[in-house]
Parts: sequence; C-alpha cells; structure tokens
Amino acid sequence: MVNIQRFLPLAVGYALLQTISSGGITPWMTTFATFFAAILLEAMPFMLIGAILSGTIEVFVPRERIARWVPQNRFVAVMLFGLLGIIFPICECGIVPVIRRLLRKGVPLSCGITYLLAAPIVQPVVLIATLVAFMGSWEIAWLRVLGGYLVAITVGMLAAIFLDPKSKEHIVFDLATDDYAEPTCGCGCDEHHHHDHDCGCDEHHHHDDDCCCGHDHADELADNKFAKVEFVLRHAAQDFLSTGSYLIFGAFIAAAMQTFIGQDTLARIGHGPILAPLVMMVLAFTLSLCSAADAFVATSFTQFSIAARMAFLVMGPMVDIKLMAMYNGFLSRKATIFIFGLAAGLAFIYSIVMRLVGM
Amino acid sequence: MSSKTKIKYDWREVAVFAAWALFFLFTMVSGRLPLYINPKFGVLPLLGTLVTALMALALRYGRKHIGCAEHRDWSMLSWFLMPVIVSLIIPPVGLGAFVAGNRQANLLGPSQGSGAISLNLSGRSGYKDVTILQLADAGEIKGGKVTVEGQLLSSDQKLGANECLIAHYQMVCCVADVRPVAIILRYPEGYKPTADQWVRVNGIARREKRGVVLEAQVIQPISTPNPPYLY
Repeated sequence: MVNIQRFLPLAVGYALLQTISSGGITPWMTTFATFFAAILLEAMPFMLIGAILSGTIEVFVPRERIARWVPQNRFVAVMLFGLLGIIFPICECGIVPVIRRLLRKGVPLSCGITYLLAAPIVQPVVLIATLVAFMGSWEIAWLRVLGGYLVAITVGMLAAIFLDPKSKEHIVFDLATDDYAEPTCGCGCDEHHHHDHDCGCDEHHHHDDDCCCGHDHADELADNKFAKVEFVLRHAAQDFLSTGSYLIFGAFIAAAMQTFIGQDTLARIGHGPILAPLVMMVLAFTLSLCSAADAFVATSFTQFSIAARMAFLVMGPMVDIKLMAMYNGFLSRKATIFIFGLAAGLAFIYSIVMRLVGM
Repeated sequence: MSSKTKIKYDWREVAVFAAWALFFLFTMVSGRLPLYINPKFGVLPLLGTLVTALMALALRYGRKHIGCAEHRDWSMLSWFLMPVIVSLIIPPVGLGAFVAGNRQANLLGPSQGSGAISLNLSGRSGYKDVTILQLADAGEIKGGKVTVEGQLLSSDQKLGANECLIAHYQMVCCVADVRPVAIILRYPEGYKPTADQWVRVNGIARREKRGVVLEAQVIQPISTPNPPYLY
C-alpha cells in the first residue's frame, strides 16, 4: 500500500485520542464510525467466505485441472467466465481473494477480470433481489443482468487484447509465492523453497509447483483427515490478510463520503438524458453499496428514469470506492484504470441505449 | 521430517483474527447490531465470529505450512485493528436525523406504488398498527383506521395546506442504504408540526395519485425509537 494508507490507521488513532482527551466525540464522528463499522460488518463476512473459497480452490483444485477447464479460445473463455457467477455466486467484496487465487492457478487475467466484474451481477441472488426491489419486474431484473454480462465480457475481451500479453506487469502480487516474503521451510532449516536442499528432512514436495509456496499438498494431507480443513483455513487467513486491508481502506473512504457528501446534493445536479446516468454513476461510486442491496436504493431515486438507474445498477457492483482500493491491491494502477474506465463508459452507453428504447 | 511440525506462528496475525472474532461477537451480544445492519442478516456476524475464530486457531495451533507466512509489518496489520478500536470507542447511533437531512424522502415508497400488495383494513372497529413502509408499499388501501409512527419532515415537495411528510427509515442491508420512506400527513386545523419530531398518529390512510395520504385524527409526540429503522 502507498504511504498514506500505511499511516492512516496511526493518524486515526492519534486523532481519536486527541478528540477524547479534549472533551468529546462530535456527531460527525459517531455518524462516520457507524457507517464505517456497518459497511465492514456487512462486507467482511462475505470476504471471509471468498477467502475460504479461495483456500478451498488452493487445496482441492490442482493447477492442471484449471488449465484443462479454461477453453483455449480466449474469447470463448471470457464469455464462459462471465457466466461463472451463476454457479459460484460471490459478491464484489468476496470475489477478490478468489480472483487472486485463480490467477495464481493460471487463469488468464482477462478471464479473471471478466469473472470479477460479472459475478456480483450475473448471479441468482442479485437477480432475485432486483426483482423484489422493483416489485416483480422481470424486465428490469433481466436487463440488469444482461447489462452486467455485456459490460463484463466486453471489458474482458478488451483485456484479452490489451492486458493479457503483459499480464505479469499488471498483476502486482507474486503469482508464484503469493507475495509471502522470505518463506521458511517446515523442516526447520534455513533453506528457502523451490530448490533442493540437504536439511535431512523427508519432505519432497518442495518442487511440485502447485501451492502458492511451491508445495503439492497431496502427501502432507493424505495422513490427516483434518489437515485439509486446516490448510484451507490457513490459506484463507493469509488471503484475508492480503486483501482485507484494502477493503477496510475502501470502507473508510466510503464512510467519509457517506458522512460528508449528501446524496441529495448529487441527485439534484441534473436529470437530463446525459446528466442523469452520470449522476447515478457518481452516486454508485460514492455509496459503495452491496450488489444485493443496491436495487432497493435504486428504486428510491424515483426522480430518475429507469435507464438512468440502470447505469447505477450495472456500474455500482463493478466500480466504487472500496473496489478501487481492493483492485489496487492486486492489479497495477494502469489495469485498474483500464477496468474502471471501460466498465463505467460501457455502463453509461448501456444506459443511453436503454433510454433510446424507451426505458 | 514430520508434517506435524508446529509452526512458529506470528502472534500479531493471530491477534487480528481473535480481535475480529470478539468484535463480531460483541456486536451481536451488546445489542448494537440493529444499528449497523439489518437483523435479518444476523447470520453474517455469526459466520464472521466462527470463521475468524477458526482462522485464529488454525494460525496458532496449526501445523507448519511452510512458506505461506507473509511478513507483515504493524502498519499493515493495524488496518485490521483500527475499525475494531474505533467501533468500541465510538458506539453506533441511530442515523434517522442524519438521513432525514441528507437523503430525499421517497414519497411513493420502495415499490413506487406500482403495487401488487393490497392492504385491507376495512371491517375493523379499532385502529390497526401499521408501519409507514406497509402503507407506502401498498398499491391499494381498503378503508379502515391505522396507527403509525414516524418522524415529521420539512419538505420542499409541493404539498397542500395542512400537509407535511411523515417518514420512517428503511434499512435493507446496512445503514449505508438507509432511506426515508414517507407518506403525506394531513393534520387537523390548528396543529403545528415540528420538523424532526417523532409522533404517533391515529388516522385514516388512503392512496392518492401523488402517494399515500394519512388523514390524522390524533397526533401524539413520542420519543425517538431505538433503532429508528424499519427492516
């Protein structure tokens, strides 16, 4: 993380102590703290689920099998990954550790990006939530899913052309070692991994490059039925620690936006055919809502057309403040801007098309 | 070398997970949860408690798994402790007043009055307790007397003489999505509504084209409910 992010917790701690010692907690602080904790209490369990899924993939799904599953044709692969949320529905907070793991297992970056963008929308939970929020309107629910899918696969296909050739530049964690610095061997020697060593131990798994740390778990896990669960938990814990801080930073900024920027201020800016979707997109970006709940908020913006609200519904689960921080945690800045810019632009175009067909 | 070798664990990582497990647990048992998230999603902190506790145990007592131990400095790990500490020091508040001033009341309700739901109140002799959400959601309201609670709002929406908005706050997932759901209150001659005052109203509700209108018969001030949300 950049320096400001590294020292922000200390700054917050210092400010908190200063405030308490100088006589009290102000209303804006309680408002901010309530938003901050609420966003995290809602999002963290989903991220933990994602981390557990990631750990499960690590322990149970060999790299070769994933390689077999991914179609050779990159565009076909992108289109299939866009539908993966139907089988593995994960929200936008929980999906980041899963994507990291899939990338490490050899899934192409473009496919990972497609799943990252599509899964929070193209999935049954969000379809039903949108349906309920819009009082049983299948039309709106399906148009949202369709929009999410189209935007995700378009970004994915462009990523296949522009990002995949230099994917190692755009993935900012070490694919081979899970950015775990200075790994030490389990046998107690000082030898590092991925090479033969003469430590006298009987472990021979250091050379089967399957795990993040260069291990094939098969031998280790075979002798203990609880070992697999334990390994899943340990991998999940490390994934959570690697990605969770970005979620917390994003929630911090989102809570500040919720506290200090009135939604009405934005909503009153404009209602024209061009301005309205833009305003809704800015709202989606600043509110950072969960994709399972945002449809209920969208229904309340009755002053905006369905087409404008569609921009909110399609872009929100792909592009918001907390996601920006989370994407930055595993993708290069260039890749994050690429994804955010394209997803936002395509969601806007989709909204305009909806407007033209009379929504 | 046995694979059952114990790990030299990083106690700071164990502390992070233990802190989060306790935080989830504390939020549930302290009764603070409804001020943060919809209690219908109470399973989430329960799940959080369980998973983070298991992760702490796995990190502390698990077998050495080699290499998968990232060296994280304190500034990184302090991110995980910051929200826990902030939340413990600053207890949550009901954000009704904040939301009222910050988010436009939705006069037609979450369903936009399109309405599949019909609220049948006819044939009752007394007042029936209903929520503003139920009234706003109803596409059709069949007669009858109701008692509702809500907060009076000052509004820039065009209302008639002796009319103001009365709202309650709907939470879907967490406070980030809380919005006021409002209906029109037509109050008796001589009554002076005070903005932000919570009231209990006995009256007759019906749906009009511009939204639900509650014709008040009795209006009593009440204290702010805790939590101030409808779920």
